Parts: sequence; structure tokens; C-alpha cells
Amino acid sequence: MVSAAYSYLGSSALDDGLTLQTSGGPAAHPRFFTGFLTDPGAAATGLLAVAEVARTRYFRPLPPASLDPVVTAGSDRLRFESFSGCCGVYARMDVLPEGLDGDIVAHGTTNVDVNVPLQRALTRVGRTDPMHVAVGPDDLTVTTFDGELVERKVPLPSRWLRGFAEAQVLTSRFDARAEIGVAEARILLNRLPAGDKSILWAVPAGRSVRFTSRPVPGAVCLPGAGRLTALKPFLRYAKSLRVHGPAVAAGSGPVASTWELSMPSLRLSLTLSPEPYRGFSGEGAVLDALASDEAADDADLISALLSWDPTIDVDALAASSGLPAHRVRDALTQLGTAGRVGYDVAEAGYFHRTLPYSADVVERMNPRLAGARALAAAGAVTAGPEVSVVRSGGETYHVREATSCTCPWWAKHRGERGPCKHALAVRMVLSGVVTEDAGEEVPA
Amino acid sequence: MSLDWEAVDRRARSGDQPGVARLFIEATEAERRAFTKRFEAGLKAVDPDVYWQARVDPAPGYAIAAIGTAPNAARAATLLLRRGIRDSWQQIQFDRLLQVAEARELDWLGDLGLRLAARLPTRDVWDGGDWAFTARFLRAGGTPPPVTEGVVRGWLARLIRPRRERMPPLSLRMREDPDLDMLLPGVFEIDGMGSDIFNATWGEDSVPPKSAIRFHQAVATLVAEGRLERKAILTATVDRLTRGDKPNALRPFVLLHNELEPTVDEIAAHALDYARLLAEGPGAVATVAQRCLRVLDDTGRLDLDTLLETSFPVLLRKEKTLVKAQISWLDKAARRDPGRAGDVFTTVAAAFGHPALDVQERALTLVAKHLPGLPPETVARLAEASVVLAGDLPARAAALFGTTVLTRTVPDLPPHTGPAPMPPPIRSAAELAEEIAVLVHEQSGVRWERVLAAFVALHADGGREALTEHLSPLLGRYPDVLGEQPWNEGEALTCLGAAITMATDPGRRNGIHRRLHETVRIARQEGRRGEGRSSLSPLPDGVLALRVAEIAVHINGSMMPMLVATPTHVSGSLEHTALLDRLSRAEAEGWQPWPFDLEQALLRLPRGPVDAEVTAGAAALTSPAGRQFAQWLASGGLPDPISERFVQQRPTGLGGGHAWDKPVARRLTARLRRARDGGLRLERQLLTLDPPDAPRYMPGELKGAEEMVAMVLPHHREVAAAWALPEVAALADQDQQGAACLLPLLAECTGPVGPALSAEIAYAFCARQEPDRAAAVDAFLTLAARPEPFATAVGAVLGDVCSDSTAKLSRALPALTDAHRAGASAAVWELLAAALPPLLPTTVRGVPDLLELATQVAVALGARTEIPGLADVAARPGSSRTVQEARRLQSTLAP
Repeated sequence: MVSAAYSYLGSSALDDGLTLQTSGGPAAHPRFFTGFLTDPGAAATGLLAVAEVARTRYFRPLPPASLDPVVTAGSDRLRFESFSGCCGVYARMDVLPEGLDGDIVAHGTTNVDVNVPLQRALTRVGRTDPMHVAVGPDDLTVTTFDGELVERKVPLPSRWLRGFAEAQVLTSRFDARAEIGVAEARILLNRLPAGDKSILWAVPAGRSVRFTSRPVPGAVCLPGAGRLTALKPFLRYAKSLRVHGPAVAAGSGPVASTWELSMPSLRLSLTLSPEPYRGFSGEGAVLDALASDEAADDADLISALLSWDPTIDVDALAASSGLPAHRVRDALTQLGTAGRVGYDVAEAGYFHRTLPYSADVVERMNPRLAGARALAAAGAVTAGPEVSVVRSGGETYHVREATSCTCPWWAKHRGERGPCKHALAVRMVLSGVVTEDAGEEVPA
Repeated sequence: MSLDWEAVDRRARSGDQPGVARLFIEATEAERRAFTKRFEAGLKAVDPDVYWQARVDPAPGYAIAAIGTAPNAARAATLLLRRGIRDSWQQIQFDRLLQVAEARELDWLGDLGLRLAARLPTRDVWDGGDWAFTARFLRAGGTPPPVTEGVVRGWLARLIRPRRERMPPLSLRMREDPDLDMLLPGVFEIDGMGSDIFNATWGEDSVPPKSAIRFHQAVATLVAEGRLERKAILTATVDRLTRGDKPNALRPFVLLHNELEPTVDEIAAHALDYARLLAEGPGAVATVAQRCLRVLDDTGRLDLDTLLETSFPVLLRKEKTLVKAQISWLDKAARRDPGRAGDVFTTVAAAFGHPALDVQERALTLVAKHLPGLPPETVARLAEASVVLAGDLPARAAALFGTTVLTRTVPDLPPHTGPAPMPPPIRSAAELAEEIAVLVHEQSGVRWERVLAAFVALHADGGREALTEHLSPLLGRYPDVLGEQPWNEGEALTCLGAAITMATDPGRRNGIHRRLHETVRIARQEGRRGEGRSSLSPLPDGVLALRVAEIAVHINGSMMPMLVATPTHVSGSLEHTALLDRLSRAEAEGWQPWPFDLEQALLRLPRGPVDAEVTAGAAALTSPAGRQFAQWLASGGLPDPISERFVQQRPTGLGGGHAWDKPVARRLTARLRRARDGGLRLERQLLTLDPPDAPRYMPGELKGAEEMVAMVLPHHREVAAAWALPEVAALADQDQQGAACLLPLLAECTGPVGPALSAEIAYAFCARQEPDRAAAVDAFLTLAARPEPFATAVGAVLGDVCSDSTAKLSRALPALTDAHRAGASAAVWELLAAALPPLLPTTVRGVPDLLELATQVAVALGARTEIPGLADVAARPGSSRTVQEARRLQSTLAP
């Protein structure tokens, strides 16, 4: 298994100011920001929430994978992100320009150390204490450091990486569905039992939302409400709760949703996978874009043009790259899969962020894609004008319009988790993609 | 003498651990090293089943041999961690193993211990036996244990999981534990350790003695005698509480905290931690924090600003006891420091936003008492804050501050749009195959209808070849569902499997065809499903299976171009015009619909007046089916059956109709009788229901079939409700889940709301699971948007089943509040007016909250209804919450 190796110049600490130690990214120990946080209490609470998600497994029977949060310094803001060990919850705190009083000295993404003593110290930060913060050690420290590095090695399962990327692609299809005041948000969150794993839907009702048992247009899914616990401490600072989700219709299955608490200087959001046991990694939202090689070429072109602006302007990119907008979007999806852009639902746009892990191999390791490649290479696909026949594992499956299939997987999810490997294989054959890694085992 | 595998293997398999050890002790080091390869190969070749099947487990012998031959710690660890050997670590005679190690003068036992420790599990630690084994290597090598999650979990489990009935007290064992100082901090630091402690002591009885496992007492004892440093333990405890964990995981630390009884100085050192805990900790932790901070405040060592800043979130907590205590604390603080009274009461005003009226009232009363002495700008701020007050309080606040009451508008109900039309039909055999595969995974009424319609139509279209190509693979893929098996006889999917076989391979005539033939014959001649030689369900879901069986039996007999019963709406409703078109086409083309297909079609026709054109068109038909249709319309369709409330009682005495874990004393059900004799063959069984005298344990017969049941009689919803009522009741009285999904479907159907449906909604309001309660709210809102009265009946049942605690009233409150907020206030008020009278004389939990909700709804509606018995309760002496809330409601209704 791949593993993530962290190497920090000492531990992050809070004494007269907050110093967050960094590891990896544009440099070994990059320095991104120095200055003040204008809302230190809220920022500390938000950072704790991000760290809490990073160390939590919301769905138990999984081997622990607890990876440090990452921070991205864009042109005017800092974004702290984490992803739970169960691959089902994605947390992000955006420190907006109003929340920063200082200089962003470099752009990029790096890991930050949020250790137990620091968490302890952060819980004591009051609402008004002024707080100096430095993301990364200063140059002097880097050049003269002779202490002991804080090093850790953590297993980095490929599903974790895939899930992190998948969450970005899924959220790019979200719209804001409800916004409620913080008093109502408090009542709502207090009402949810901590261990709740059931699937609920919420629709706007009066000044708040109410639960409904079935998806209706405009509803947002609340899957495993117990997973929103990490938001609660931030309620005392937030002004409103906004909920984002994809469009649903009657009869939809559970979908992902984003629950975002905001105040003028900060935003804290949690994105939940469609069901507590379902990690984002298997959602298959990226597979459409991955199956073609054109997207990969476009992605290379687009990635060279990315800047560190708060959101990526698709039209500007289209103009500067000479590609049509839809291909720019596909390319961004592809980049999202590789962990090179994130999606901000509040701004409804992608932002530049390069995960400090080598994620390129992972996307190729997507099991469904690998299975499809093997099927296509083994000649198991008999393509037809409307219906194609795929022989796989001793069974015969019929794929219609290169989308739907008669396999049990499709029957179970009906496209809610992306195309099945049979449909992907048909697409590959139809588009004439030559597969280089022929002869791989077909997973049954 | 050189070592050979057979000798080692023989001794290991006979359980002769000393014998194995002796072999290696007597050998020379060169011989031992030379044996490694052979041993590893031999071990690899051992049949894995031996470890658990053989009378004597050979693993301990192999383990000793592994120590006797491994060249280094890494190889030894690999050998010991082999699955079969690892499972038997605890059977190994460690002394023998040590003798071998001594004979080899091994210096890597500590290293081996570290390697094993790195692989210790973090889940399913049981009694920590793996750790105990690992620890002996570490001790033998003089190596301190690494502080990792697996080690700490194993170490703790070893201490708190009782392995014998008699064990020395935990404090004694901890005191003597060599790793205590090293590993105890980890118990506080690692998430979830508290759960292990909690689970170990959960359900503890006299065996083993509590002293053997009580963690908090043991730690406190060691602190008291100075073995552990008090400051460190207290800091670690408060830290753990501050960092949070699941509530049950924090409980042992709350107990430890209480046991330690922090002094004022110690509390002062952690004042900020307690402030955070009070604001954000779980209820039990916040209570502790509040107590500690009050002690601090009483000695004058708590900063007022800290108190005020902390109070704001506390005043919005859901634990009302905490909130009320905080309010009186603030009152005290204001009296002590009159100069800051303005700040204090501005903070108190945060409680105006609390959802509970009694909390709001307490804050308002306090503010009112001190208002005269407050500066005008504070008064203005308080007046501004008072706009969020609810119930009867805005009026009081307006009088107090000299403002006017804002009128709040009641939100509109979501409009009733009626059931959606059916999705378009399936067009090809490939699509049909997909949909059948989906049905195998999850059945739904709409999907069934589309599949059946397409199956018949595609077959008639001469698509036998296409059907064969696409559907045959399904038969092979799902033999357990589509093929006939002892467990699925008479199920709709089995019948569908038979129909596919018939359609694709007409020559094949096997047993199932004969049996289905007989089943259909019985249904046709005797109007019966189930019993005797009919394997179909006698419940309403059997109607679908019967229709599929009918298709299977007839598919090859006549060229049937289409089904006539396919609904036009997802509720199952079939428009008159659609059926007229289909029957006209049948007459024109010269075919007759199959009997049960036609009967189902008639049962799906809407109620009420029929369009004159349809009546005329039907009257013009001459075929038997056409005449039956015309006659059906002329007679006004199916008369509503008689539905009566029926109370099931648990018989007294042994063996009564109750479950082993959840006895149900009383359950409301419904009895159905036909309003007429004769009629369709399907009528008798569908409309006759006689519930048994006693409740049945977890009735789950219709689970997953809710939509199919609702679609049988979409315009006589009381029928489906009556059949499903026991299952919906079980949501509340047996904590089941899922069945309430029927309710929103029935709400979209039509027909009178009788005793069954109203009881169902009441029960579902009290369901254990939130999704079921949400389904009840959905149904309630849909019904409220339509003209038929129903809420009074629901309220009567709610009052009935909650007043004897058959169902829990407190569960219904959030659901009713949701319904009120979503705009169904008028219906909620009708419900409350009927539910309150039977509940008022009781002491059932939740009655004050129900009264409070009633006040909110009454204010919103300006209701003036008199509620029987309310005045009596309001006139009672005392200040219990029930009386207070009754007075509040009474004063709202009769100002």
C-alpha cells in the first residue's frame, strides 16, 4: 500500500501565536501565511472540527487511516481540508479575506500538523483573544533548524485518495437548497441523535427545514445525520447554515450533501457521502470523464494555465486554452480526480489545490476502470448499435446505450454510483480506445 | 543428532510442548539454524484446518519450535503471526519457550515483542490475551512497551475484562502493573478507550465483584495513595472531556472526575476548559462543568466576562435543567454586581431564542423583575431581543416593553398535486431485462406494473426471440429468486420466473406450470388465495402474485396484446377513459382480457362521478368484459367496506400473545367486513380481515410490499391501511422500522380515512425511527391539504395509545412540531384538541410539551376551542410543569 510520510520541523504549537508546521507541497516545509486571524475563536473551533473529521472513522469496520489536514493558500484565502478515515466525510474550513489580516507569502498546498496538545490549546482560544498565526516555519528556522524532525508514516489507502477526489467532483453538481438561521440550525442539529445512521431528506419549511421520508424536488439528503456532530461547536460563531445538494426527483436514492456554517470571515462545511457505509471512493462520478483520453490531454493543458485565484473562471480558461467550455469542465473533473483542483460549493466554482500526495497512479487504479479495461482488452464486448453484449465471469450482460446494464451492480444502484464496468468497457470499445495494459485479471 | 520436521511435527501434534522444547534445547545452535528453512517449509505445508479440527492443537508446539529455530526477530515474528499460530498464543507454555530462548542465548526477544506489539489489533481486543503474550517478550527482553493504540487497548482490556470469577481488586492489580506509568496516559489520550471501559462494566452483576473492574474507583484510589500524580490525572481527565468522544466513552471519565472531587484551586486552573464543556460538552459533562464553575463563582474566582460569554451558548442548550440553572446563576450574578446588570440581562435575553416556552418565560420573568432598574439602552436591546419569543409570551413582552405584537403568518401548506402519472412504458426486451434485474434487488409497485405490461406487450409483438435472448440469462443468474425453491413458492418473482420460462420455452411444461394452473383455477373458482393447494399469499400482496401467475398460465394460450389493469398513475389509479380505450380496443380486435387482470383494472377505477362520455362509451360495449365494465360503472363501483376499530389485548397468564423481549399489552387494529355479497372474485378475501384477539409479535408479512399493497385498491385506502396496521403499530410498540413508508402512499390515494388509517398515522408519529416519523408527517401534510376531515380521529388514537403508554408521546412531539411549522397548523390543532382530553389526567411524559405545542399552535391560529378537562388541570394547585403549561394554554384559549 502507498503510505504518506510526514516530516515536520517540530510540532505545531500555540504559545504567543499559533504556528502550524507544514510538510510537503511546493517545498519541504513551505511557509504560506503570516499575520493575524481576525476571528480567532471561530478559526480555532473550525480548525478543531477539521482535525476531528480527519481522525474520525464514522463507519467502524475499517482499518484506521488518519491523515493530517491539508491547507491551501490561494490568492486571498486559506482553506483547511480533511477527509475522514472511513472516506465518507469531507470537511473544509475557508478562512476568507475578511478573516485574515496579514500576508499570504506563497501559494500552494501542504499538510499541517494538528497534534493533540495543539488541539488542547485550541479549545481554550476565546472569542476575542487576538491570535497571530503562521502557516509554515519562517526562512530562518528552515535554514538553521537542527532539532529533531517530527516524522510519521501513515498508510494511504488508494480508496482514501480516490474518495477525496470524488467528493470534489460530486459537489460540483450541487446547488444551494436551503438556508436557515443559526437558531433553527441549532435546534435541527440538537435534534439529531449522535449515532444516527438513517437516511433522511430535508425540505425547506417556514424558517427552518423539516424532515421528509422521501426525496422530492428541492430536497436535500441527510445521510447518517450523526456525522454532522463536528459542526456543533462552530454554531456559536456561525450566522447561518446553508445546505447544498444535487437535484433529486421522486424515487431518487440517497445522495451526498454539503452542510455549511458560515460567518463573514469563515466558512465551515461538511460533505457527507450518500450512506454512512458508502465511502466517496466508490461513487463513480469521475468515471465518465476518465474513460476518454481526450480529457487527459485537455487536463494537461488546463493544469498549466491554473492560477491561485479564489475560484477558477471556466470562461477565461476556455478563452486562454482555446477549448470549448464543456471540455474545460471535463478537464477540471479530470484534474479533480487527480487531486489537483477542489470544488467550493459556496462559490460554485473549482479552486486550484494540488494534494501533496502522488495521486496520479491512483486514478488508473480505479477498480471499475481497471475491470473495464480488462474486459475490453479480452474481447469480451460485442458492440451493437443499441444493445451491446458483454461476457464477464461466465455471465452474459446486455448494455443498453453504453449506459445501463443487466448486471446486479447496475440493478442495485441504477446509475447513482456511476456506470458499471460493463458499460465502461462498451464505451471503450465504441470509442476505439486502444488499451495498453491488456491481459489483466478480470475481477469477478 | 540433527533436527527433523517429522519429530517436531509429531510432538507438536500430540501437544507435547516440553518435548518440542527439549528437542531444541538439546540441539546445537548450528543445527537449529540449519533447520529454519525446513521448518518454515513444513509449517507452510500444514493443512490450515488442523489448527481448529485436530483434537490437540499443534500451534503451541510450532510456536516453541519457531523460537527454537528463527534466525532473527523478524523471521520469528512472521512465524508467530501466522494465522493458525496466532489464534493459539494463549495456549503456549511460555516458560518452555523461554527455556529455548535461554538455551539459544537470544538477545532479540525485546525486538520480537516490539514487532508483535506493532501488529496488535485495535478492534475486537477481547480480554487482551494477545497483549499479555506480547508483553512477556517485552519483559523478557527488558524493553519498554511502545505506546500505540493496540498496546494500550490490549493492556487496558487485560486489566478490566474479568477472566476469572475471583480476581484481586483492580486498584491492586493496577498498582502492581509494571507498565502503568507508561500506558495509563494512553487510556486518556486515545479516542474510544472510554467505550472499552464502559462496555466492560456494562450490565455488571455481582459476578465478578465490581471492585475487580471499576476503573474510575481504582484510579482514584491510586491517586489518593500517591501512586499516581493527582495533577496529571486530573488534567488528563479534563482534557479527555474537553476533546470529546462518544457519550458512552466519556462516561468513565465523568465518573473519574467526580471521584477525584477537584478542589477550588484545581477548578480555577481549568476554568476555561470547564467553560467550554459547559457550552459544548454532552449533557452529563456539561452538568459537571456547571457545578464546578458555580463552586468557583461562589468563591468569587470566576471572571464575570467568562461567565457571560459562556452563558450565551448554554442558554440555547436543549437540556432545560442546565438552562434554567444557568438563568438563576445569572440572576445571582446580577444581584451581586448591580453595575453589570445590563450586560447580565442582555445575556439572559439569549434564552428568548430557546425553543421551549417555559425557558423563554423564565428568562422573560427575570428580565421583567429587574427591568425598572436597567438603563434605557439595555431596555431597548432587550425589547429588540424579545421579538423571537413565542406562544403567549409576545403579548406579555409587548405589555412589558410597550411595543406591539408582530403578527406572524402561518406558512401555507405545500399544495396537493396528486399522484404523478406513470413513467413511460418499457420499450425493448433489453430494457425489460434491466428492470427485472432491478426488481430482483428491490421490488416496487410501479416497477412491477411496468414490467408486467412490457412483458405481455413485447411477447405479443412477436418478440419471443428478443425475450429469449435478454431474459434467459436472468433465469440462470438468479435461480434462488426467479426459480422455484422451497422458500419462495407463490411469490410474485417466482411466478415471473415461471412466466419467462413459459414465454421463452413454450415446450417446457414442468411442475411449476401445473401448480400455477391449479392456483389460478382455485382463485377463479373459489375466489381464494392461499390455503390448500394455492401457494399464494392470502394478504393483499397476493393479488399481484396471482396476476403474474395468470400471465404465466395464459401467456402461450392466447395472443394477449396488452394488460388492461396497468395503472395510469403511480398511486395505482386507473383512469376511466384509459380502461374504456383498452376495452374498446379488445372488442375491436376480438380478444378478452384475462379475468383477474380485468378485476384488478375495475378495482383501480377512481371514485365519484363518472364522465358521461365514458358511461356512454361503456354502455355501447358488447363483449363480456365491456358489459362488466358498464355494469361496474352503473353500480357505482366498489362500495366502501365496513372498517371497525378492534382492540387486541394481551391475555393474562403465561404464554399470552406477547413477544419475548417487548410485550405488547394492547394494540389498536381494525376489522374489515364487506358491505355487499357477491361482487368480484377478489373482493371477499381483500375486504375481510379478522385480527386475532392478541397482538402478534413483530408482524412483518408485508415488509417491502407496501407499494404493491397500496396499488391494489388505490381508491379504498382504508383496506390497505387495515391490513398493514399491525406492522405500523409495531413501529411504536415494538420499535420496528420501515413500515411507515406506506403512509405517504395512502395519503395520495383516495377514500375515507377510517379507524385503520388514523390509527396508523398516530402510531407512526410515535415510531422509534426518525424516517418513520417523517413519513407520518408527510402523510399528515398531504391529508391536511385535502378536504376530508381526519385529524380529530388521529388525535383520538394518539391520546388513547399514549395515555396508557402503549406508545411514547415524547416521540410524537418533534413530528407534530414539524407538521405545525410546515403549515398544517389547523390540522395539528384538531389533532391536539382530540388528543389532550385523555392525556390530561395522566402523568405521561411529554404532556407538558404537548400543551406547550398546543399553545404555540393556538396562538398561530388564534384558536378559541374549549378543551375538556383543561380548566381542571389549570386550576390545580402547585407549579408542576403540566399545571403551568395548562394555565398557559387555558389563558391563550380564553384570555
